[in-house]
Amino acid sequence: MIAFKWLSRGAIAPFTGFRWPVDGSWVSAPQSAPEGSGVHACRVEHLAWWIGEELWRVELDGPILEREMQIEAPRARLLGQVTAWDPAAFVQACLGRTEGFAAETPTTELADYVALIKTVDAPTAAFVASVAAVAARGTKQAFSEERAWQARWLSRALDLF
Amino acid sequence: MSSRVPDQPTCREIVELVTDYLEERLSLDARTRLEQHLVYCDWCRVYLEQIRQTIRVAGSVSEESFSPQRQEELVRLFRDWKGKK
Repeated sequence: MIAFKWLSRGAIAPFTGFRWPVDGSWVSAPQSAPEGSGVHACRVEHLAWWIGEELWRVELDGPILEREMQIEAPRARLLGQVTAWDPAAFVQACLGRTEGFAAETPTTELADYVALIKTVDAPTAAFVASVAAVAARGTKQAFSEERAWQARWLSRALDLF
Repeated sequence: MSSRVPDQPTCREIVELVTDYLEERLSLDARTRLEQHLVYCDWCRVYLEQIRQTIRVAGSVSEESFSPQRQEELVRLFRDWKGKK
């Protein structure tokens, strides 16, 4: 199965510090590891929750476990970096969305989110825009709806289909 | 801002969970929520890295690696610190 994986600069896993081989070698999760310690990856709809510095296409092998915000497999390998990933463009998209919320619902809080997004990186911009969506629409569901919008944006902008 | 965010831990909650996270004692759900928070929270990422480094450094130090003089000095510093608390 083909999926996606966010990594830190240099193909390093952001939480474990594991340096992924970029030559296509397979990597297996330790069998004795606790539940949930397989290789984590994203379907397109999961992407906005885990934004990082580098986006890679990965091939997963073995039984796939479906989680709410990610998928998990016993082994995987990197296929290639998605070089079209442009954090600055994504931040601009989040800014545009938040400006839209602020225009619909002109409050100090939303104006603050607009100002904040101009100063933060892509993962934080995604988070702030989602919080702004909640503030504008008044429902907590707006948070995950905004994440879904961001995932669609990523899919279109990076041609991930 | 965190009061607006559904099902997301606060930084205070993350700090309380960090030791269990590093010792792999969190449930899968708690671990996922913590890592999700780390994606966008610079402060918690820095805090986690500081704790990791502390564990790394402390784990590489043995009693024998200190001279008797340095050991006495450390014991004195610790007693002074305890006395001030």
